[in-house]
Amino acid sequence: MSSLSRMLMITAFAAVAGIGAVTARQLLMVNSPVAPEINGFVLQQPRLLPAFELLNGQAETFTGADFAGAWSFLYFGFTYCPDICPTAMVEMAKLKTLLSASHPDLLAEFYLVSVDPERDTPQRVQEYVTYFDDNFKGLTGDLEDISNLAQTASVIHVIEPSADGVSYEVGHSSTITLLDPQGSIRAIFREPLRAATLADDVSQVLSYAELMKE
Amino acid sequence: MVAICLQAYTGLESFNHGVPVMQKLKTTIVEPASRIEKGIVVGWAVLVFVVIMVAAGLARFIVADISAQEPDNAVIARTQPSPDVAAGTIAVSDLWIRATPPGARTAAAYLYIRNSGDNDRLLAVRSERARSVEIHTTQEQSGMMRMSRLDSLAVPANSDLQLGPGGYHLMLVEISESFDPGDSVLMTLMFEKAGAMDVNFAVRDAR
Repeated sequence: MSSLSRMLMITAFAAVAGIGAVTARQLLMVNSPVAPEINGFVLQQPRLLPAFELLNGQAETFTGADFAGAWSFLYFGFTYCPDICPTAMVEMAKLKTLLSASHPDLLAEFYLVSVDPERDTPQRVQEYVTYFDDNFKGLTGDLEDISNLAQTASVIHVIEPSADGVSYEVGHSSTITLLDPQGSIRAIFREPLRAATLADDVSQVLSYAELMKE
Repeated sequence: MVAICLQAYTGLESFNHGVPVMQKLKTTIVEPASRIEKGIVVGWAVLVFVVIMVAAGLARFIVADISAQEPDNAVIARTQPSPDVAAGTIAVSDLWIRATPPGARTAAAYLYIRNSGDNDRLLAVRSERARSVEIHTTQEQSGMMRMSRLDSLAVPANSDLQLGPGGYHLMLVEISESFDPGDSVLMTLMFEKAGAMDVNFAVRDAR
């Protein structure tokens, strides 16, 4: 075999292997960087919110556009709830403190979205959330809009029947939904919701989101 | 790079089709015998290419699989306080009520129950500061945290029972006024065997 044809063969081999390696790298790049492991779920593709219209604590219209500009933490619950919701709100307040120390430049807003709008008026939600933190925000409104938003956040909720129709219970997923400054869902944190774990997990999700931009 | 790719393409053509179209250009420099040899080498290259692709695909699958795994729920450790109120074989301790946010119509009370005797049951709880007091449990069910009202709460013989946040609790329904830190709230616990116990719950700011 002539040295020329040998050279040709080696070049051909190198070329094919090279193309293979480049394509393989690109295939791997699709899922790279790898989503962090958290107590909950990291969405590899940001999930857009549906159109909705709610009321904030001042009874003003609040839409998805109002989430823009800051990272938003959403807890779906209700103010009549004596146990699990206050516990979650306390942890969310602690999380806010931890994040303001670890990420001083991070713009973050914290919301309670009521899944019990019949009892939770804007005023009621507002006085409830600000008990846990002065800057917490409450959202309420039509049950249909709330359900649309909840469904996208993978939150299920149900109003349990009661004898008197007043002291009814509301079952709901106890999670914290994280929205990016574009108002899309990036992660869902689940029980047990503990501030220290949440702070670590949020930190990882933020780094991951930063890498995904590149 | 473009030139190399073109050559690779030429090689593939001759390997796959047997009748090379672009080979004409090289008839003067490539002998028939080495052409077969070249085909074999290019064949190997294609095989390596396929192996790399399969490996990449597998790696991607594995990575996706790992990231889909969920960590186990952490177990919440609870300290066991010493009993300070006793009625027969039932002793209760660490009695507290979560201070209520303004406008709250409900509150939750927690305690630790130690039963050093036979099987007993907590049948009912009363307080002047609420329309009713219900025995509740919070459970994760169908992806939701749901409170369910219990008719009674079993306290098995020689066992301890913790009522605490996110689990068993007493729900005070339609409270007459807010519970503020420092308040002491009198409640009556009705046990099936141990009977009635009047106990004070301390209101605690759990923020």
